[in-house]
Amino acid sequence: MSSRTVKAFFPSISTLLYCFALLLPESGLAHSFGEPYQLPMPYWMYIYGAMAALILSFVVLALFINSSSAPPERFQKTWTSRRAYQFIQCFRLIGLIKTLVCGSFLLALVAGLIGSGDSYRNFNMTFFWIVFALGGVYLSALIGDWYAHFNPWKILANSLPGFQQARITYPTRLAYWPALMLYMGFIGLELFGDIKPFSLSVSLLIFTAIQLLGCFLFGSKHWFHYGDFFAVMFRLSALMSPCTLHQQQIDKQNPALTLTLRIPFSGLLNQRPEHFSLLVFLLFMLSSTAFDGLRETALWFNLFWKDPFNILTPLLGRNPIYEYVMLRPWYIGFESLTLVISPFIYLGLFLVFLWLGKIITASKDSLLTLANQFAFSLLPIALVYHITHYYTLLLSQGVKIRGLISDPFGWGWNLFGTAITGRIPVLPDMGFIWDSQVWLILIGHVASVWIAHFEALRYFPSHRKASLSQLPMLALMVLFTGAGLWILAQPLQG
Amino acid sequence: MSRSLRLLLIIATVALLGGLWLGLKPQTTQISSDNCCELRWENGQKSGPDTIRVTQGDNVEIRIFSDSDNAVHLHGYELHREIPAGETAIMALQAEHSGRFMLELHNGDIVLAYLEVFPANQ
Repeated sequence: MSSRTVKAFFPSISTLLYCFALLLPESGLAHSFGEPYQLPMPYWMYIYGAMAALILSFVVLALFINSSSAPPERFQKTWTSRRAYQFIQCFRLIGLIKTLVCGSFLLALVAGLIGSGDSYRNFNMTFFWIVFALGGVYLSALIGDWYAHFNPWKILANSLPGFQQARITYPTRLAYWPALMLYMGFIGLELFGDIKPFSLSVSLLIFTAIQLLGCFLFGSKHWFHYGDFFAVMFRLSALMSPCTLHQQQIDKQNPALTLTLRIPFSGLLNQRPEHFSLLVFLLFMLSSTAFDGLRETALWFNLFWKDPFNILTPLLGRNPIYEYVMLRPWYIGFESLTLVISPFIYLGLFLVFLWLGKIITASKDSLLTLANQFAFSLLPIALVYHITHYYTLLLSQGVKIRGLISDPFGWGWNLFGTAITGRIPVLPDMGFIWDSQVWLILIGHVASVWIAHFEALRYFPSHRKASLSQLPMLALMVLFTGAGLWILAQPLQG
Repeated sequence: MSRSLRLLLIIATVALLGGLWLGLKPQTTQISSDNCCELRWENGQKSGPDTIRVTQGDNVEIRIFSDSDNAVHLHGYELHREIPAGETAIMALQAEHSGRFMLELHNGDIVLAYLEVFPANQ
């Protein structure tokens, strides 16, 4: 297969899931599954958060104004234990966890195909959307890249003969574009798909076929590095984790387990995107969550349906809301287009503010070089956007997995006696949720400013230039943080 | 920057952020409560408010009419009522949990309304 054929082939399969989402007849206006139950943040909190972000930015700058500050890597602590490794080996823990992950996916697949059509009674919806897709990100950000060891598709591909060896050399220019397109498909499916247990299982089967095809063509090592968007997303999240766990070979006979504790987010230092596509990927992590928040607001809904700029009304002869049924596919198209271009809007903003920094510091480096230097400093903001938007789902819906294990097909079973009690959600007080949202967003903001400032101190030849370069970056981060808070404070469509 | 200056900067920041928080936070917020309402599902169309806003602790009564056999579910509170065709089901509850909760008609997965319960002290 020629390189051109490969390039032509990939956009078609990577958009498959997305097209599948758009073709579904009952595409709704909300998430396909699980509604975050939070209320719009009070306006005073948004104002407070934006002011605090500004204040904290300058405090971080002042605290780390010179490079004599100890590098964060110095505060890393590592423990190596042969006994811990032997314990894992003795109880075959790795194998057990692999079996558990693969078994859960298999159960999810089967439950979707033969179980109840009720999304809240079938195991597969809660398992895939909440436990795996949301919980997986947070687990990576907490304990490191667990998915690299327990990726169920990797386990499947590596157990099949012929899926590890590459038949075609992975084209360099393809880079992370397949992962980005699959990621867009996944978000499209989540937002517009109106996915039910059965269609989720069908989507998972299609995704499994794509994963296996990728492995068959490029070998599992390359595919799971570049093509599997879950692998890329979890790997990026893991860079922010306060600890990592890995096997270390002390000598041939003595493998050991190494636990490393580090300052949260410090794993982002000295990291660079290998390719421009990875920069767009991480910007999509940021923009897709912001878009998901925005589209739930009354402001976004009214922008199209109330036509405040009087664009559609003259064409239709009356307000678009009266042509709801006819215009709904157009609305979904409008939203899909916005979703697809959203990372490029963020990219444009990022480059504009970098260009300002380049002008101020009279840097001779290209914008792309500067973008690579500071790209990963945006990841903390992306992570906290994600957490503030979705974490209540883990509490309201995620805890129900305990009950669903007792009745995975929704047939009224009670295998472990948890079917009823497990359905009661944890509903923290809304005041607590708002407080946590503001402080999480501020923590992410401070972490981003901190990472960017350390990178600047290492990159620019003088402290003055490093600090000057950070003024536009600071403005950009305040803008992103303010936008995140503003979205959380908007009235929701109802 | 010296160590004492750093410490001073951190203390000043904490004091400033704390002061701003206390200064901006309103003492009480009045939410106009719609503690009783009626929602109807007839000929495939819904009528009634899209959002029911109450304050935490309020007693709420929601009456739901359906012209076909149906069931209504209030997510979060996990309340479930069967509605025989042509009858009105009554969902009465004390709004003890704050948040935004979907009231869903199960046949067709129709969102009938959202119940928004605002905390009393925010």
